[in-house]
Amino acid sequence: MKRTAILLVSIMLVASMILSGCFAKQQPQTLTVGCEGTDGIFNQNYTNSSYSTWAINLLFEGLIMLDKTGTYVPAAAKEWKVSEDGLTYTFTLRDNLQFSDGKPLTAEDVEYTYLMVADPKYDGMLVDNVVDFKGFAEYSAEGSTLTAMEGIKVIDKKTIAFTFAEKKRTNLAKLGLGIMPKHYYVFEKGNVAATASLNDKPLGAGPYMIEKYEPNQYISMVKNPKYWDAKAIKIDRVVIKSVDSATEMDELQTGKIDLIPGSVEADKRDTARNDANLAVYEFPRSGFGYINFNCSEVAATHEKEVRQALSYAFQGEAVIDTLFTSETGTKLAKTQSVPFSQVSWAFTDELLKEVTSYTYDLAKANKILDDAGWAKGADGIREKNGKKLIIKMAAMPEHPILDSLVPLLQKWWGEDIGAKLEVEYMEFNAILDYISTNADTNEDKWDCFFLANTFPSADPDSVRTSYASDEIKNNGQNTNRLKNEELDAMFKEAVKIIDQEAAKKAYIDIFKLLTEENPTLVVYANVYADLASKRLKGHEPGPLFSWELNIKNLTLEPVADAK
Amino acid sequence: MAKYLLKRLLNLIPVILIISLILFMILKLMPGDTVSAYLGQRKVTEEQRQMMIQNLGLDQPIFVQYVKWLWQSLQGNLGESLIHRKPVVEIMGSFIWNSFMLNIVAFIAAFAVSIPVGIKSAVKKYSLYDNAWNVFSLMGISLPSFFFGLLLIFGFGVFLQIFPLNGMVTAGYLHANGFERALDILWHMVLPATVLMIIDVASLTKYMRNSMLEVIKQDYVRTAKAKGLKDKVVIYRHAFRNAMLPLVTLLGLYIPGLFSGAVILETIFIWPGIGRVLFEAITRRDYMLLMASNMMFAVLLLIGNLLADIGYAMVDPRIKY
Repeated sequence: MKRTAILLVSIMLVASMILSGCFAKQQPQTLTVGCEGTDGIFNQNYTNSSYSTWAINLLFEGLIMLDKTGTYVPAAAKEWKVSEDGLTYTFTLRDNLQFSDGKPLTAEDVEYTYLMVADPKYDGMLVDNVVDFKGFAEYSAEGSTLTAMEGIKVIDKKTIAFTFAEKKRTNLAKLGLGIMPKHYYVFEKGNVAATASLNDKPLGAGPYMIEKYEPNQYISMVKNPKYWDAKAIKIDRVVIKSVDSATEMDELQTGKIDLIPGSVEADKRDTARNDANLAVYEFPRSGFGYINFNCSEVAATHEKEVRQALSYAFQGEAVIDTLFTSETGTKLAKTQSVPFSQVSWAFTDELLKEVTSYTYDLAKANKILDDAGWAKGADGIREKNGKKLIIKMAAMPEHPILDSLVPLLQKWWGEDIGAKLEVEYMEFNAILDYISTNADTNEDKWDCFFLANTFPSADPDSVRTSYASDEIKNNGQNTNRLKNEELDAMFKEAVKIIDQEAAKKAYIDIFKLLTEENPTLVVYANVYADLASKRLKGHEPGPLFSWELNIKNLTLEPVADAK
Repeated sequence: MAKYLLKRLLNLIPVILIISLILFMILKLMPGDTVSAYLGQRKVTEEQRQMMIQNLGLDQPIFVQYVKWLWQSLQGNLGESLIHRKPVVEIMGSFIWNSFMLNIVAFIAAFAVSIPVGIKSAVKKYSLYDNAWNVFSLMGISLPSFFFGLLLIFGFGVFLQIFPLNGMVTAGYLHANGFERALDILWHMVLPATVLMIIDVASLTKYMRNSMLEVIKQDYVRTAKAKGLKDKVVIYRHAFRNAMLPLVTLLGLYIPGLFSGAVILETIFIWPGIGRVLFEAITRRDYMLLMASNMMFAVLLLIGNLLADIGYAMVDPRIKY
């Protein structure tokens, strides 16, 4: 028995030593990126995972793409023109574009890409890209027999024109979808779901093509020789691998992966800084964690004075110091006074000067409430017109931030200002039910909630729906239920200004009004970091410019010595 | 016996139906639904949202939805997962197979170790061997699996660099043939299977030991020894065959476990098994996938129970149905 045990163990050790040599990483020019795992849906129409989106951006290319400054530049299209009235965008494709199977890419494929999303039975997330096209309603109506949309016109094999119903600065951003081959993703109108079977077998015209996909493990991609700019691609292979938070640093340090994008934890950043082979790239998040107040009539936070007082009583800097600063002093987030993306072109110093900043001022908070008629009762809790200042918060249990934040809020929105905070714990989907899915029936059950938001666009118009009166409904986007018609009108006018510089003034006015109404209290805006091997060169990540968009500038130095 | 079997099988049918009804109701009564969970706070037109709800049949009364599900399932159509955009059967098939591979290896290894260890512990009661395994069992039962898993990963994966840190196959490596792939999988399986095995060994050795102790006390064993039979014959031919009975029952109850995945282990080892997939399905309210897999586990459990009873009857001649 003892002998067999020893024999077994020695066989295992020998075998593993032999095998570990067998499966070592093969080519030096393979970039391995770690993430929580793709959903295996390499189809922009249906994916729900930002990690799959990395792969999609490498496998497919659109007419235009974003550069590191957040401006749209030509990609598959070599140029485009805008009509006089600002409604029509005409694109000219580059010469000799091909998909990775060798078949030519023409304007018909571009049209096809958008018709897929406009299909009457399309049930993915990209509808917003086509909803503003002229003729969308007619094409996408159930039972419609139209084979083409008025707003998408194929002029010739290399030219295509898109016409929108309204002139909006945000229209151009809709035209960046990765071009999908008509001959491969075949379906009959009304049955676009048939293309879902090809979700893990993508075919596109991007810089890479798929090599192998192992579900819940990794996807590997190789350089696409048919890509029009193939000579600009310096990395031969890309592998996107699932990693686990507990072991990802070990994988990075032992060279099994080369890049961890979007890392949040401080200790990992410190480990990387102390490792001679690793580099840390920090950048601000395009998004934030926030508390939304219920502005509807039945809520305790209905009056803007109450919302303002709560914000003045909120110790924003203290939150950053206690919850978002590591022992080594690394700051993982900062405060933010306006509720839209801090990497937006509209987020200027001028704007910050004009808006109301709710820096901690307890005396002011109390004064605002006193002046608004909220008198302290015998129990120390303020009341007005028979209504007590009791604030009901919907919060997720066992949440890393809320666990520390709630006790703080109970004091700041409790004895500090003469109010009372009542917390109702519920799971994320239940909160969604309260504030969105069944928002109308539940509007009297909560006064505030805590969630986080990421803005995939730098355009400040992307927050319009969060504060629009017509979005106060079940499944609406306006979860704070703010109803301000002047604000609605200002947003509608501001999006018509095509030039970004000219639009900045309009948004200063908008956010001045919005911060006065103060439906949203921004709690923290993270500082994210990409952790990478020093062998990776040319990496310049931004919150809206992740590594794969910059693939043409990335190179990987060969390993210094074989292990 | 055949009559008994038939009766048991027929009894399973109403039980399965009731389980499916209760399961369905529980899933539907949870707040939140597939479409809301899928869209989150994303923007879609109202018409599109309604279309999605209609496509999934979520606008109909719960009981109607149940009957529709039942009717489709009996015809073999277990539905499609909105999250994965694939038929439920396809998803379950691929991921359950991965979990099964891991579980069966751990299972066989656990039994292969527990049985001889349990027998020897019983025969040499209170010896150093017995006490050592006792302590080891206690540790195995008390140590949380993820902790032990992480320990192995850091020890053998990071520090000694003998075994891979995680995954089922080497990322980015293209296998030349099926044999190479099988070898890669086996090599990746060592650490997670060890963790699973240790947990099982801890309890199985105790079972085996206690069962053996019960039997060794018996008179017929004394007689066998007195007859002058060799120790090995007494232990294995007489004592063990009777001590094995409770373990046979255990085998039947282990069957459903073989097809399910340990969520925690699969997460830290990045093993593409069914455990993680189902955990995600719960948070994302993937009703079709949840119904199909939970029903499968329920059926496996019932059949496992039945097999255990039958097995017991076959091994123990005293039991007559």
